[in-house]
Amino acid sequence: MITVDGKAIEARGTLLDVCRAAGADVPAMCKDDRLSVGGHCRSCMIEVDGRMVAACSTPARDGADVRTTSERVVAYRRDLGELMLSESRLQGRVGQRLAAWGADGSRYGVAPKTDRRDTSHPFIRFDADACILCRRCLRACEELQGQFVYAIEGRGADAHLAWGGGPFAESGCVSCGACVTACPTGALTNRDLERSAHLTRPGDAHVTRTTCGYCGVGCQLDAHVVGTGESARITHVEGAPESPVNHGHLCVKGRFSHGFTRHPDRLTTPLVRRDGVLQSATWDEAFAAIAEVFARNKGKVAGLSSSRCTNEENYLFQKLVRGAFGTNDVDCCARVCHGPSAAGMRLSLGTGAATNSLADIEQSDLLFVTGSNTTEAHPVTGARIRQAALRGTPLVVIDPRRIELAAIADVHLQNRPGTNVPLLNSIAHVLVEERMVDEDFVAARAEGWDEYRAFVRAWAPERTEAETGVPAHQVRRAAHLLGRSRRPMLCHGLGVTEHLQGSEAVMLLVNLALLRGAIGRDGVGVNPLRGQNNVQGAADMGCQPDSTTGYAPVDDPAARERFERAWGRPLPTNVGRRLPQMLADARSGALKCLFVFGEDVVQTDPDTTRTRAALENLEMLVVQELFLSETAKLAHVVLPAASFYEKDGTFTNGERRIQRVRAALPPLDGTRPDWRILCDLMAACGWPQPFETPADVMDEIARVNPAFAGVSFARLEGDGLQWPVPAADHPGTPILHRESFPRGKGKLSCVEFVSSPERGGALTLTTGRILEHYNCGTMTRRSGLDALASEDLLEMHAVDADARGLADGDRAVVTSAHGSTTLHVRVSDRMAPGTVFTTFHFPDSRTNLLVGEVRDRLSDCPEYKVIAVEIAKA
Amino acid sequence: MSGSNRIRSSHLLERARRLAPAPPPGNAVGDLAGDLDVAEVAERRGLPVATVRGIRSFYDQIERMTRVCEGTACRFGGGHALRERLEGMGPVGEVKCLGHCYQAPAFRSGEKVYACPSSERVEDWLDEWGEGPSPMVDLHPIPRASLCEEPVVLRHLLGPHGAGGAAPAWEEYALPDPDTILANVDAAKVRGRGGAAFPTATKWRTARQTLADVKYVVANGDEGDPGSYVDRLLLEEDPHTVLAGMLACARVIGATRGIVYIRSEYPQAQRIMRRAIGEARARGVLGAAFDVEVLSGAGSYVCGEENALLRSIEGLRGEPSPKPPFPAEAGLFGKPTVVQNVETLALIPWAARHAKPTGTKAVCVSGAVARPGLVEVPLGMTVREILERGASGPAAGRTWRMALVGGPMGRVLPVEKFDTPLSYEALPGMGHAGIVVLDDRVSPRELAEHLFAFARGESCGNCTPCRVGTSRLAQVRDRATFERLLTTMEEGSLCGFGSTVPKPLRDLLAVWGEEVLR
Repeated sequence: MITVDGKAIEARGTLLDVCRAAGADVPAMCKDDRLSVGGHCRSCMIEVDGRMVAACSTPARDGADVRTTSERVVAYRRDLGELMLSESRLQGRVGQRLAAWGADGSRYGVAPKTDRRDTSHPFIRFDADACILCRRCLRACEELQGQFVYAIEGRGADAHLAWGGGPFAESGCVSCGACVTACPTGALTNRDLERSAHLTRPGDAHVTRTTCGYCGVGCQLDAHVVGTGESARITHVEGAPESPVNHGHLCVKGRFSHGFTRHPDRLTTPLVRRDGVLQSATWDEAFAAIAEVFARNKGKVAGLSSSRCTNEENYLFQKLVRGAFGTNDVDCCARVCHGPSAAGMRLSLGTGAATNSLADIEQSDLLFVTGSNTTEAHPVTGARIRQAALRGTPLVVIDPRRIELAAIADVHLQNRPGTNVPLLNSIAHVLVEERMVDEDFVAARAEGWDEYRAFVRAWAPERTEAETGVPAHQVRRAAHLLGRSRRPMLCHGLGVTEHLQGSEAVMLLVNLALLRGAIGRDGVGVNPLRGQNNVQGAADMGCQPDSTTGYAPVDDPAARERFERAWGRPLPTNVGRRLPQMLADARSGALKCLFVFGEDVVQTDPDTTRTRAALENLEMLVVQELFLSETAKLAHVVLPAASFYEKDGTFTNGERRIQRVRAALPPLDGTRPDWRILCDLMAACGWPQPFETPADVMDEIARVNPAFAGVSFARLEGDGLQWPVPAADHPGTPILHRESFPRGKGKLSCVEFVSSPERGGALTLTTGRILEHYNCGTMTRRSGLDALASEDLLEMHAVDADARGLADGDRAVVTSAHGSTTLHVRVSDRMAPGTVFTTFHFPDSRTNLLVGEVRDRLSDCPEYKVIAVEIAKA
Repeated sequence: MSGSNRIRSSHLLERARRLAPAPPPGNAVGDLAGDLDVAEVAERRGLPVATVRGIRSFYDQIERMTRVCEGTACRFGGGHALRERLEGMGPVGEVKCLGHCYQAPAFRSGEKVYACPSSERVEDWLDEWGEGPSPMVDLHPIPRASLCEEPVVLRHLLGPHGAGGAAPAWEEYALPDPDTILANVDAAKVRGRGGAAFPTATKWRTARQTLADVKYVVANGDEGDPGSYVDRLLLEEDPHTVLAGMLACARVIGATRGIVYIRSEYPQAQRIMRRAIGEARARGVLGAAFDVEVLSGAGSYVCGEENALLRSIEGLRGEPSPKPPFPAEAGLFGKPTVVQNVETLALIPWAARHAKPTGTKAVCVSGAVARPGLVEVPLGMTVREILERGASGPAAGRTWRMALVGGPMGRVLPVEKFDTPLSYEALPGMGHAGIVVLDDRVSPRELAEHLFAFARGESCGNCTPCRVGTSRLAQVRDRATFERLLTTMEEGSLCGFGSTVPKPLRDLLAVWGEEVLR
């Protein structure tokens, strides 16, 4: 026990911990509980057994007598406050605090106003006058993000916060904003607050906890809002500190990309094409038009759902398509991203979802990242992997580019695009040949071992290095790291899936996990980093042509009957069209109507020319959207929807965690939440739905989907639940397959290499995402993030650039067999010679014009990652 | 538990390890001092450019220029005249101490140190210069003497070879077994001689008990205190005894690697120590089991603080960090590390054999005395006796006013108190106990201003009380406020620098009162 101001309390942790536990108000300005102890500000000095000690860094010891308000402490604080006032100009809460200590600038004077500041960055502002050199920003940057932007320059009284000399915007900052949240004085501020300052009125602000609507990490965030009704605005966004997903951290998109919610480009009225022109219409007119044309074209209609929208909306959408339109022709954008993960893992294990949780990153002793530029595409998970590596966890990265994670990896296997299959087989070869296989696990939990062992014998890394471009010794080193680890966790992204053999490459990753016994326990697993906020949920809800909610096969009579009873409708029995088939049939005229819900297929699907032709050939294209996207421009009916900040519901993140989405703003005038639009449309189609709220929809989902049986909005408060949640008292399932796999044993798959027809040319284009933008950029481009990155750039190695007379900043024409576009060149040592890279965030670039018809052999996912191109100076 | 006292450098160092898995020998500080630019250093060391700029800006001796010594003996021993003379020849920088206090004033130009042959004749010396100070190249060896029956620190340095010519002390490497070494060091009551006087055996025991794949022994040769040059003497003239002390420590704690960190102001000591390490390797006493390298500082007093020293060895800004963790638990690169001052290490082999307290202290005497130099004295001898017998009393024509004992964070003794015994008990806070005697031409305010400038110039800036406090000292005129400021620095500073800057100032106040503030 320890005594704090006369109160006895258990001596646990630091003196600061016990003081807080005792309710003593000990200041600790440089202390941030997320960060290591700094000991810089010395404001937490307290008297312990007659000695002054720093509470933040001193362990509490039994028997100590701690005084936090003794005369000595009070006098010390006052003087420290005076010193601080003489160095920095402190206002707001900190200023008030120093005033409360009695510091008024009378002892050592008041710091002069210098107005030294940096406003070069669109979202982060630095005012040197308010800096007290507590280094919370610096520690946050290193220990939360791992970016090392900040440093202290100078010594003694000349010491000051610095970031490499130039303007802050050129510092290498990734705009996560962790430093801003850590700053106690307002030296670093979120510039959103400047922009919204005129909106703020005292007592007017409120905060809504919700789930981020960008990538599949599922960060919890707090939207700060001022005003009500039409005048309501998001002033700024903070990460939710309690969230097990992001622990308060956010990325540039989650924190700063909210301006789109009130962007003037928002659609605010339904549009119906009349005389070839989209014109304003009433909701009833729009619904009537859809109901009439879709009913008339029975059998020739299809729906494309939105992975950006909620579970409830996805559920309603496939219910609409199946029950009202009478077809299983429903799909979603998982088809063009992680469909192969779902397919491959279902074939190998029986469930097409992450086997474990993001929290396992910290439990793992080897992180094996394949085809995922995690720090840009899933920045908060990327930061988590980075932090694990900076704490010493070995990291293996497989990627054709020297991405940020590759740069800090223990081994980076920089293979040529399209060679994952031989590379992964070679890693397995080393594991098997060098007897680094968890034989007990394989014997108990896997099947096909004998055949597999014979199969991999032929895949020595020395025999695949010519194909993959990866030296055999590196492959062996990676395999040895994997083979010696006890808790390997495998994460992968679209660099695995978007290939001719995408699903099969996923099965090869599962092979590695099976060989190492790395499924079904803490710290291990196969974790597809899902690309969109609710792509997991869209699939769970049944937005695919072969299975309905909860992966119930449409051609299974028992399952179908269950839904027919629940919905009171006869349901189609045949497996429906996949997205590529829908577009092909639209081109041929076999499909007449397409309902596209929250997706810009023109900008994001491959082979833009043919996609556009398909859509133009439809009798009716319905698009439900926030903005007049490239796809919406072709539509016959456009339905203006509400954004994720304006509605209630749930998203399911990549670790199967179902989390609440809560409306921070009312829907923009003239728009409706998607779930409401879908219910209204179903009513117009003669099938009224009984739902008053999204919670009602979830209750129905819980009734029809056994994995959701225990899910309700009430239970999702707090951290949400990871499915399966089979009962109302079930705690959820962070780790799947602890005892067995749904298919019985895990399958060791023998996969021969089939080379993509796009391979073999002088240059291969591979595409992806950058940190600052999200997919087709409709939201990020309208939230000011274009100030950080304003175009799609063509990254290429200096060797390839030189050979074509190209220099940094030149414009280059990129031509594939399918199209041609012009981009600015960025010469980059992230690229290997022979591989070039770009993104598809900006409609003007029309990157997807270049992508061809090659698709994953099992799931039809387009091969965005391997495109034969030629490049010339524009 | 909220947060942790993680080693502050761990993230940076892990990043560096990953980005530059096979860096060349040395560290970023050495690279910068060796004229590599910031971008090159960032690249080869795997450090962010911003970090390297921060490192560059931390050390004040990276830029090569003529630098006049601002140490106490030089400052009050003709330093002004020297500075004016040098400024007539080109740009002049400062260095806090060159360790030539017995030959003040001194300055440095490139790798060469120049010092006045006789403090009595500074003006003559300057007048003798033609275009440059060429006639003064010959530096005196450090004068040394013993006033004790059995000198320990100087045991190899008083013989006929003395003055730079001693044979390598190979016999010092003949050490007892580790348990005996530890027991004997304990019995000898060895305490760190760098200033903190922490029991050496206790530190070793902690490091010995901490399990780790690698452990380090670090010799702290960052003798930054003006008025002290005993470490320089030992490094330059008795390097093998220092290495033997490191080897003893290594055997006790199970260390395989040692580093001798020597301040950049002692280039000669660095050269000699490197050579000695080569000799010891050739003789087989250093090598696979325990090997040692020399790393250089680059101009920062605070790097004498052990955590700051370790960061500097890691190539980073030499800033202290909160303890725990202590270096013996988590030090260099996060591994258990024992840091010992050079003088301490030099007496370790003796203590390891004799198991009894040395009872002596090597005292550097400089300033207004007739024969400045190093004298080993029995602990408890009065300051006056040391000055009279060891340094032949006042320099001709000088009248003593006071002495600064233990450097700018030590004690000020007015001449009336020169009968104080020199011991840790009678003169607490005397640190390394180097004595700079000041005569009546130096006012208490001048000494105070000298101490203010030192504190302000050397504060690392890491913590608020020291960073802001040291830069306010000179401006405060009110005694109550001044004493309050001293209390705040004492109570609040993160490391021993800020908390002991007030010590001599309090002594000055106690004797001369308001005069110090005018």
